[in-house]
Amino acid sequence: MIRYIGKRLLWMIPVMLGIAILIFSIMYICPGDPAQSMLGPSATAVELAAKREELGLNDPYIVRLGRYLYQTFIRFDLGVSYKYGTSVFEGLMERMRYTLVIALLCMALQVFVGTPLGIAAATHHNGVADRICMLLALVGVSIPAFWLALMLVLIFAVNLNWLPTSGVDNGLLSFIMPCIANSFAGIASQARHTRSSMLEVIRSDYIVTAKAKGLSPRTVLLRHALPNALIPIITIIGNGMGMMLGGTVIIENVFAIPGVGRYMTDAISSRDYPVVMGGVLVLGLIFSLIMLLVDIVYAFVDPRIKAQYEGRRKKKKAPAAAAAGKEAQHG
Amino acid sequence: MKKILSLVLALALLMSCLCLSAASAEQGESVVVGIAGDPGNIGPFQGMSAGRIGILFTTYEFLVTKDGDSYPGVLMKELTQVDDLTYDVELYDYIVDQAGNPLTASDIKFCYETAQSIGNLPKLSSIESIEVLSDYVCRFHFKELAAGDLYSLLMECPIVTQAAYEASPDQMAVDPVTTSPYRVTGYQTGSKIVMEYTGAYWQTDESLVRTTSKHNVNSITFSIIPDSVQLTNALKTKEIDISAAIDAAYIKDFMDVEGYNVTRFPDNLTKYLIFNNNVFPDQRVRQGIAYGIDADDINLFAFDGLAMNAKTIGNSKYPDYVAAWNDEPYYEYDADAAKALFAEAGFTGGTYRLMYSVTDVNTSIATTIQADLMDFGINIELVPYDSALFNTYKYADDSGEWNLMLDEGGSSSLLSNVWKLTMDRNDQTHGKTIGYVSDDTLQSLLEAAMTENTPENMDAFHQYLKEQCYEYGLVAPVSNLAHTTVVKSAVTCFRGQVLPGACEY
Repeated sequence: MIRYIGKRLLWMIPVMLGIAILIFSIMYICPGDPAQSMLGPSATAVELAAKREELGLNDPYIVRLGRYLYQTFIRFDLGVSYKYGTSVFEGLMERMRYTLVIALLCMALQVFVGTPLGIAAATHHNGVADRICMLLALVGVSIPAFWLALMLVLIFAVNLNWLPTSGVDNGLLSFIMPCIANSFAGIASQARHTRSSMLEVIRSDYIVTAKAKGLSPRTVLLRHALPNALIPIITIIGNGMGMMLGGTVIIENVFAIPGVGRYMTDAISSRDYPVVMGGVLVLGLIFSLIMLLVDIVYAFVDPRIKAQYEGRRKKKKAPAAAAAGKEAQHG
Repeated sequence: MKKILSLVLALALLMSCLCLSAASAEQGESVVVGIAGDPGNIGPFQGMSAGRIGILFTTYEFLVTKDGDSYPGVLMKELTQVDDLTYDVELYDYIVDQAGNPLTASDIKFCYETAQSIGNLPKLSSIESIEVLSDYVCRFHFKELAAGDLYSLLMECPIVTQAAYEASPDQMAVDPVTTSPYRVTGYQTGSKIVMEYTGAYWQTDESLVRTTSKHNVNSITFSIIPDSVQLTNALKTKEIDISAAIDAAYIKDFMDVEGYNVTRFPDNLTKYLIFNNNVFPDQRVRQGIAYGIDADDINLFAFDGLAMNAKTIGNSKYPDYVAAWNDEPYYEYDADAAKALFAEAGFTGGTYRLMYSVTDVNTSIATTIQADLMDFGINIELVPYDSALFNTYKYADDSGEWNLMLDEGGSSSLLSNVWKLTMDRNDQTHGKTIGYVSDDTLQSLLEAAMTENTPENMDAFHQYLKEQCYEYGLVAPVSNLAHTTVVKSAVTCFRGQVLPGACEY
């Protein structure tokens, strides 16, 4: 298992390299002048040219790419923001806490609301509960997050005055609407996938056997059906975390939350290349780690997958042990 | 037991009442200002941005400030002209920053030279050198000075002491030590900036405390809310007390509403249309298009009728604006005149690209222009870009990206500087105006207006531009300052940004 994790971690190096080259190339192709954004409309052509030279923007693609890769992967330096003049890494870390809080709370909502909804729908297949759950799920996947966010603000902040409209000054209260808006689609998706996964498992022979043995429906559901339905659900949760991180870009802008998403959208508008590239790279790294974590969780949830990892090791060990045995016999 | 319990409850009730009353008193001493832009790095020598403008005058002091049409000294006690390009600046000899460091002439030299070397304040390239003559006098040598440039340059660079700047581990990015009466006590990047009155402002002579340095409130919080709808909602729920960034489309929500006041004043920006001279070389076609656009429509749809129709590229806010222009005709909507001019020029319409920086207001203006010109067989293709891309195409060589450009411009000093933004061909790499015009008369009239800023020179340029119609002024938006009754009287700087320290509470 440790070998597998190590191997996966090593595989992340080319993945990160690929992300870095891709985002660098996109930003290179993307029209727009960071020097103009930095100096404003009163800057003359000469001043702009000097700024571009200072930023190294006049160098050819391959030189700039090489410099960027060296700086990022050899010196582990994400550079300095053109707009803010501060370290990109520090800027990201400072803002990451808000983004992670939102993403984790959204994940929690997705798991703890979406999964029970899906289970309820599956266990009451074609019943009223199923129809209601699936209607909610359909509504959930159809509503855009930003629209829902503004509607929530109008109802709960402007009209009822229960929650703050924006910002992060009110502790957990500040995160209620952003998290609901950001996770609504995730909850719906989770419910739909849990339902279909559960339906497949519920119809299996071993569930019929468990019921025939006289186990209570609750025990059958929680001890026999759910663990076997978890694999696809865990995959959805892993992907969902990536979607939540991406979704915060919109939600942070609507709710004025100073997270990584807002940092990056501001940076895109002002062509602050180091921030955009650094942000994408860090989010890519987090997502890769989450996917690794998902794969590890698979092994703990499903003994068959764990056995596969261990099986490979045993298979490799077996010929070595046989050879050692033969040597001993000859000796 | 019951008595004890009652006593405890009564005490708790009393305490909570006391706490509440204390909280209300504190509320009266503080103000929350909503701003739309994120200042990011609040160090002194960073480039100008929308967010930075909002907090600049509360955070820093400058040699001079602008008050109406005059430029009273803040740190500067006296200005003496030595020759056309040399000026002596004398400082007050009792200025200290928030850390107790005295401010001297060498600090002025340090600030301007540091800002020049960092290169984020391009205007400062007009300064040749700064010489320290004594502890409190320094001499500015300028390379060139157009009308209005002198005070604009003295107001361009925030001043801090060298000792404080060098003591800061991050060049004052989050915790600037300045001479302002307010010190930054909390900065949550991208969310809010909290400033507290230091209680010991260096300028003790009340008559010399300028508007930008007034300190009528103890605590100021700048709340950064980039979304215009959310900024409006925050004011509705009174999470913020005042904002100059409420979108024109939402300002009516606060007009004549109990608990709110709206102060309106001319913005220093003007919206105008630039013709691509390569596409519209015929003066009659440009004039025809100007006649075919109804500025009243634009005012109504984009500004709810709250803006003013422009009479030139600029508005009456500038001291060198000639009042007589207000009474002159300026391409008021006239369909017949437009048709006649098109017929005379043999212009039969076609499809043209209107480029603009995408905002709600600009989109409304652009669609209004599109609708107006459709009547004349002119099909306008809307080309909205984000500001970075818009600026790239605006200043680039003509690549056919735009045929008409919806732009806006303003200046911190004179109207002639607004004209310079787009019509000084010396500022562009292609050697033409932004609209690709190379007209010697236009250039010489502009230079005359800039060097000798007399009403005659201003009028000469204005009349020539109006005749040629290389650019056409559409509307002069009005800034709307909306505030709750926490603020009794609102005050703004010349850029239309709230000066919370100068407001009355």
